Amino acid sequence: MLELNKVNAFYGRIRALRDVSLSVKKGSIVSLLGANGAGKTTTVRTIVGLNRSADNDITFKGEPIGRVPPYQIVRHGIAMVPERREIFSDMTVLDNLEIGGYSRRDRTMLPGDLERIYGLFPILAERRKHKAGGLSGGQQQMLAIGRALMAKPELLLLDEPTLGLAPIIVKQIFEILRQLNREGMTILLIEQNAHQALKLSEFSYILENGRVALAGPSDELSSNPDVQASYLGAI
Amino acid sequence: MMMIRAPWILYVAGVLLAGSCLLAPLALGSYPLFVLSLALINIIAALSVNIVMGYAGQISLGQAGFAAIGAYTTALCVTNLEMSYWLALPLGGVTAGLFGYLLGFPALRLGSLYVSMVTFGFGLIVVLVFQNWYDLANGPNGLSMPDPEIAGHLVTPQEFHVVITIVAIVLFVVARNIVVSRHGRALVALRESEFAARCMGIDIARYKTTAFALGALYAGLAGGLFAGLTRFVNPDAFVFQVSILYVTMSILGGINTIVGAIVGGALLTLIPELLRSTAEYKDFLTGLLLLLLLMFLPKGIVGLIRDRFGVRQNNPDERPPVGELAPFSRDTENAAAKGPLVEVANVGVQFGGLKAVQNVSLEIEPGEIVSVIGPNGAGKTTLFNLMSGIYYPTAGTIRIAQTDVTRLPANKRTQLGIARTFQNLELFGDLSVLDNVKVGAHTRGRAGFTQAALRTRLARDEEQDFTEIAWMLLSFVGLQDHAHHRADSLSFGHQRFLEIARALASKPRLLLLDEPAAGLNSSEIASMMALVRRIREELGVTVLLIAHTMSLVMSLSHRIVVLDHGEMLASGVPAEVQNDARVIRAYLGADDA
Amino acid sequence: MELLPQVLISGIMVGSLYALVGLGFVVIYRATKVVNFAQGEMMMLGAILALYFSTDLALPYAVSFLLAVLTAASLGVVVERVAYRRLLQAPVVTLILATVAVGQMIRAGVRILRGSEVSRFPSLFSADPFVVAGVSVTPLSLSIIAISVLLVVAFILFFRKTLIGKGMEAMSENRDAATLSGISINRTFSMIWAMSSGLAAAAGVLMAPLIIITPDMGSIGIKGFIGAILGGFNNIGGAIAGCFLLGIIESLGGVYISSSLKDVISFAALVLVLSLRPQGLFGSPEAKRA
Repeated sequence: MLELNKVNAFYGRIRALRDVSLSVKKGSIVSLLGANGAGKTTTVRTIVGLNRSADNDITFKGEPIGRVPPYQIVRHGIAMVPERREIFSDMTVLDNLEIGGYSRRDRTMLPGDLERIYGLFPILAERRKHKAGGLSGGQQQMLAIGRALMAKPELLLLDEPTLGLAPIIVKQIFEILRQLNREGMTILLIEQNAHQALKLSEFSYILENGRVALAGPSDELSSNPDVQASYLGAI
Repeated sequence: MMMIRAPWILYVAGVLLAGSCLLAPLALGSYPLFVLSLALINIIAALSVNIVMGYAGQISLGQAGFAAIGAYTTALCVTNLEMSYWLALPLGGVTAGLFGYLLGFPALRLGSLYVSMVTFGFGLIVVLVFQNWYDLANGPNGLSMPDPEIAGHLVTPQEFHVVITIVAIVLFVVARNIVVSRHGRALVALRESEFAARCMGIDIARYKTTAFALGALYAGLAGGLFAGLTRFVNPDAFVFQVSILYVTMSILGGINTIVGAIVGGALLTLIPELLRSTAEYKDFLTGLLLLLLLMFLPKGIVGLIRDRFGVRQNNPDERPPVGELAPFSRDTENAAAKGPLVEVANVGVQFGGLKAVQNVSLEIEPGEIVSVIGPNGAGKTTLFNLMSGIYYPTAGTIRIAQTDVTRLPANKRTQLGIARTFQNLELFGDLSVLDNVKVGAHTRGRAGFTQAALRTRLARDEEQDFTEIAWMLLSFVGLQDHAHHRADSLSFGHQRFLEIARALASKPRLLLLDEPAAGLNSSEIASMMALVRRIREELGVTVLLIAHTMSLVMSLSHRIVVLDHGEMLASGVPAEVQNDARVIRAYLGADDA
Repeated sequence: MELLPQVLISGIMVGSLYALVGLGFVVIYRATKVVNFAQGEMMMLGAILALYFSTDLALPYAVSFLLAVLTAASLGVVVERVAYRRLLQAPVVTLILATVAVGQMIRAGVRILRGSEVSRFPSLFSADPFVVAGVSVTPLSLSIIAISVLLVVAFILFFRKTLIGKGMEAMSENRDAATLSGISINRTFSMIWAMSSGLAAAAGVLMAPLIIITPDMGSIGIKGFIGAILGGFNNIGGAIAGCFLLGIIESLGGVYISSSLKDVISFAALVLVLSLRPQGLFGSPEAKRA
């Protein structure tokens, strides 16, 4: 569904990605792992066009999307949950979700979708009139996911959705992702939390210094000692 | 690329220009001479904008207000107090300078948005006050002033032109002396990165207020000279449009250069005269010119020439002989006897409700290389910011070399021997590589503003000393071939090395390196490792570093400290840390989902 | 006895005009972090255009009003397209200066086209006072208050209740996240400049019958900015409250202190508030590092 073919990209003046290739099949969960500064965030930002790759070498459903302006990406069916959530904190929870559906043409379906998201995250229904900035970290993350889902994407990109969250919340969020995937959502998940991401996903890529260092089915990588080495250095 | 030996040509041009201005009364009729006098006054006003906006980077939309204060003070002292014009003129300048100093204070706390508004409001108020002050300033009708005299002789316009020329030359030379001194570099540093400037030991508050005061002094003197030239002052001469005219002059010539003020001031005085346009057209064209300059030529004419002809290009002849760097300290020898260099005890800090760092304790012995590692958001950079004085801790104490520095501001800590680099490079991009390193030596200077302005012996010796150590440090990190390039033209890797050279210029005992290897390729990482080792071995500097590149951390560090969620998770020699179950869990996540 | 309520009403009327201009300042600031120094000139342009349409072309008042607002709004869009958009990546100082330059061009341009002549503008409503509960009011001042308040409320509702308005809010809060939700930054900015210029022009048309129209009347526009700062630049409600407050302070100061020092009083209030409470009287402080 999503293909990156030898993508090179810069983050400011740093050459953050070198020949990164990866593919995400329809209906799968793929995780993108690696230590800080390995280039994970740059990869997703490049996919959605907030960063530009050097060549037009990203395709989605067979269509090149490297030149699509970032605000059009969501209309192609890709929604992103950005790093550090980036919710609209001065606006209400409901407003945040409505903005998530900004790009939708089928406006009549929105109330139903809203109900579905309230079903996934009941706390959001409870807090829908509150300002988003007052939510706890975990609730904000749920809101960020809900906002992305309101666009009714075919592919969901999540950039470190568990960053700074308590283990119990992490568990909930992973459970939701699993459920979404069962309902047919394709997911590309960026994580530092490698063990859990490997368990959740079918296939994983590990980035190191802007390159794909390891790639393979997640259960194989789980038992591969090189994974730990790429985080903590060779022993 | 064409190369110009800039200094030589500029000196000759400068002397010719000054000479012809001095001799102009012999050749020019009275009106052309008046226009030339006016051009010189405008050059002084443009210089004032260059100092405040171009060098210090502080927006001011009220320079005409300072000129008004200078002009009115001069005129009022002459007419009401029967003071000599020659005494009233400097008094006017100083009064304006005082107002500038006071107006600099809001700039300490407020962003450019508010400063633009405050200076704009100031300019308007000054004009309003003079317009409504009938008793003293004769309201909108303005004040007439008697001709200035010297020993009973009434000064002719020809003679007054010579006076203006001399004042302009003196003010230009003083401005030039200041901008090439450590104080001038400090102003630019402030403009380019306030954050880094603080960490180089630059007292931000002092430099901002001084820049406003100096700019206002120049504007005030321009106003006083204007009063002397026309023998008349009225509020209309200093309205908002005039402030904008000064800014446009400054930007047209090149706001970041001193020479630019001459070009812009002269052009924007002479061209409208030649076109003999009406005030409306002049205002419209000034606005249009300003807009076009901002869009297409923000560095102005002089900036364009510099970039085009590469005046700052490296010139191999200009390289002084490079000596050996002497060690900065003897901390690597016999360390145990000296006691710890750094003692961080139970330090914590909160932002809002978030505990970014809590209960961290850490001791570093002289001569050690210690690494801080930990996942994203673990509080590593916050710990550095606490140590360098960017934040004050809400709990605990920090001692450096047995001195309690917990509440000491960043610029004072530099003097105690702490220097640092930054995760997201904070170089002074518009300065040359060499000048960046010289900014690092700022706190070692003793020559004050006045000494710099007059270029005294002390100021010159100090500058020579800074230049030498800067060259030595550049060759120490391997950047000597890039000394005259703009810092932001360096490759990313070179910029990381430059940040280290800059930090070392203060001759620190403790060097804090924030992710020195991030974004480097593998060969650059290898030379970075070698450099860190040499910093310790050859210069005797203790190093604390944050890094994610584990190969570098594991091979360099004597000890490793692991942070997670703002707390200290583990600490020990590399092998211990690598095998610590808690560390593995912090990095790779819990196994039991 | 009857002076105070009289002064308060004129303060509220002036304040409502400041609020229109101030709202324009705040909308642009929130989205671009820039103070639009040309806002006052847009206001002046609104008055001049309305004068032109109604007197020179003899169009009805309502049509002139509408045309003046639309012309100013389109000019706002054009200037944004041609100039400001290219400067988005430049330092804030550069953008601020650009708006100063545009303001100067409008002011001088109007003077070139129409001269410095001063003009009076007829109003739809009478300036003959009638007395209500001991206070004399004019239909003119009531109509100004009513229309300004209506416009301000309409804009607040637009931002709070419509999807497009919320999208503009979202863009002001977080550009990347708004973009990812499908909101176009360019289109949003065009709308913001159009609205802000249109608001300023509307204030100019409403103000026109009260004052003498000259190319320099734009300096009044800066009062909207001061009011907005007094109240708090970051929140629309606070900024509008600040504008009304400024109108009242000025009217009181003009009557009880000195009418020629009215402008000095408002700038003094600005400097005072900026030094003591930079976030404004009703604003919340922005996070800033130590």
